[in-house]
Order: sequence, then structure tokens, then C-alpha cells
Amino acid sequence: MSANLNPPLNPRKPVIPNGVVGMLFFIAAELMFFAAMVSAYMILRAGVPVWPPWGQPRLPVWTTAFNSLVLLASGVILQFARNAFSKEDIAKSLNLYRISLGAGVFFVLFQGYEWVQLIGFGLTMTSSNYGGIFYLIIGLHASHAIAALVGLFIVLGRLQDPARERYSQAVDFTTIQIFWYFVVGLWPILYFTVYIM
Amino acid sequence: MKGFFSVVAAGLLPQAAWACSVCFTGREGFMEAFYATTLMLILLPPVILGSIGYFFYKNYKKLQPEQQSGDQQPKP
Repeated sequence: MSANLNPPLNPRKPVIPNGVVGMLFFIAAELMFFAAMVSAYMILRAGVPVWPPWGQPRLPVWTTAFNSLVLLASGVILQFARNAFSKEDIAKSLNLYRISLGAGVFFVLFQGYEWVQLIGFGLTMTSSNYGGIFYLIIGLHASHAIAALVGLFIVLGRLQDPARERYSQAVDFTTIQIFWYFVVGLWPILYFTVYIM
Repeated sequence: MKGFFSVVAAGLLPQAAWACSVCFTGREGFMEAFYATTLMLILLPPVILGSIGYFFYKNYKKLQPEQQSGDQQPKP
């Protein structure tokens, strides 16, 4: 009787979970935002005969290359964590996740250290167009990296919560994974454009 | 008539007609940078939205057999 009145729910699995859809569109908007920043950089750069301008410090290409490798490694390790999670090896997944998170924190701290050095050498937001656009682009990326790290910390807490459903954990993991991949994937483009080109 | 003369005058002064309100230099590379970035900003939205659309479609196709088999199960 009760079965007829209240049939068990047979919810359809969504094609893509809502959180993931939201994140995808957020990243689409952010990509356009960064594309506009890169455009501004290229136009500023093309407008002057010498780049970087005379009297401005050169950017630390090699140390940032090392830091870039740390960030890329963080992305790869997060994928390993995801693979372990999919295989239900939660302990291994959490360990890899923490390593990935640690690498991300290292990247941001190292960037901060570089900035302190550059400011010491006279490269500030107001020193020239070069300084202004450098801090704008790299700072925006750093702010996204910090936001993604906060998200990674929040999801880590949820992954460690045994009361949480595995499906919800998987959705949380995927959502923050996409955001972190955006941060990791965008960095080589910015590094090449701002530091090398 | 005034309009006609204006057009002729503009035709005789092509450099003035090409003046750009946002250009702050006459360097050749500057114009190329404008072209490149304009092209990038035009092409990026369809590429992004197309990628998201393809991702949706791929997931939908992957999920379809699973949903159909779920629908065929006898309901209580």
C-alpha cells in the first residue's frame, strides 16, 4: 500500500552535476577575462620600442620556471588523487590530494617571495606600464590560485567526512579539480606571455 | 551635395580617415597586436562555448544507455 502511494524515487542521474556546470561557466567567463588582460598586455608591449622598458628590473625567468614546474606537478598529482578516489582507495587519494595542495601553497608562497624581491628592485604598480600590467595579470592569477586553494581545503574537509555520500564527494572533487586545472593550465600561457615573450 | 563633398574630402585624406582613437603609437607591430588580439577575443567565446557544448553532448551520449536500462526496470 505504502509502496503504491510513495513509490521509491528513481532519480535520473544528471548529465553533468550542477556544481560542475556552474564551475564550467564560471571558468568560461574567467577565460575571457584573462584573454582581455593578455590582449591589453600585448598591445601595451607592442606600443613601446623596448620591452621591458629601460630602468625596470628583469623578471626572474628561471626561478619562476621552477615554480611553474611545482604548479604543474600539483595538477598531475591531483589527477593521481582522482584516479585513486575513483578506485575507492580513499587513503591514498587523500595523501596525494594533500601533496597536491601543499605544492599549490608552495607556488603561491614562492610567488609572494618573488614579488617582495621585485618590489625591492623597484618594480611596482606605479613604476611603469610594465609594472602595472605585470602585477595586474600575475596578481589576478595569484588571487585565483588562492581562491582555488581555499576551495581545495574545503573539499579536503568534505572528503575526510565519513558521513558524506560518496557521490557528493565525487561532485565536490570534480568541481574543485576543474578550478585547479584552470589555475594550473592558465599559468604556462601567462608565464610564456609575461616572462618569456 | 554637402555629403558628396564630405565623402570626396575624406577620400583625399585617407590618413586622417584611418586615425584611431585608441592608438598611441604609429609602430607597425602595434597594429598587428590589435589584429591578433581582436582575432583572439572574437574566436575564444565560440571555442569555449563549443567545448562546453561538446562536453555536455559527450556526457549525455555516455549516460543514455544507462538511463534507458534504468527506465526499463519494472516499477513497484
